[in-house]
Amino acid sequence: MTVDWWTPVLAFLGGGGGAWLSYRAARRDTVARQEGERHDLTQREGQGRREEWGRRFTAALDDIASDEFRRRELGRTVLVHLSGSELATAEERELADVVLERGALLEDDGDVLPTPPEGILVDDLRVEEDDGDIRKRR
Amino acid sequence: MTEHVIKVSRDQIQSAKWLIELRGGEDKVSPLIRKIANAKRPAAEQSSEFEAS
Repeated sequence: MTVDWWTPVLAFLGGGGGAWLSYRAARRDTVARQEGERHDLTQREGQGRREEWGRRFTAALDDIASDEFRRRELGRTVLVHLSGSELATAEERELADVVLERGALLEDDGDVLPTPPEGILVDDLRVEEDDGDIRKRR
Repeated sequence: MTEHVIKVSRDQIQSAKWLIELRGGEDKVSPLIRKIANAKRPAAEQSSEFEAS
């Protein structure tokens, strides 16, 4: 008699436990899948941002080589701004640094200002902006 | 002591200024770059004097 009473109870508990375990497993799978999808989305977004950053960086470098002063100046502005981004690698920051340093030392005729100019102390130099009047002097 | 004059273009000046901005201060660049960034336009009378001579 006692055995007859416990059999359905044990069956019920067994069924309930099995269902609970199935639910837990299914839920774990769902959470893992959602996390995987979120990770993929984040990764795709990161790649997209990085690609867009790369396009802008390349465009800024192109602008610096433009014939128009205004465009060159905008190129330098964008280059410095992009170099401060978390998306920039150390190598790209160094490239921006080299481009600007070279741009500061490179004269219109392609010569590079020596550092310091032959045997002259930098303190003894007066640096002036070259304008039309000065060009007449040369 | 003789003062030596170096003439630089606006592009050189702007590049030097942006380099200072990129590196985060004038103390992070060479003295020559600092001088280029702070280059002044020559005084008008200086230019006239030269053309007259």
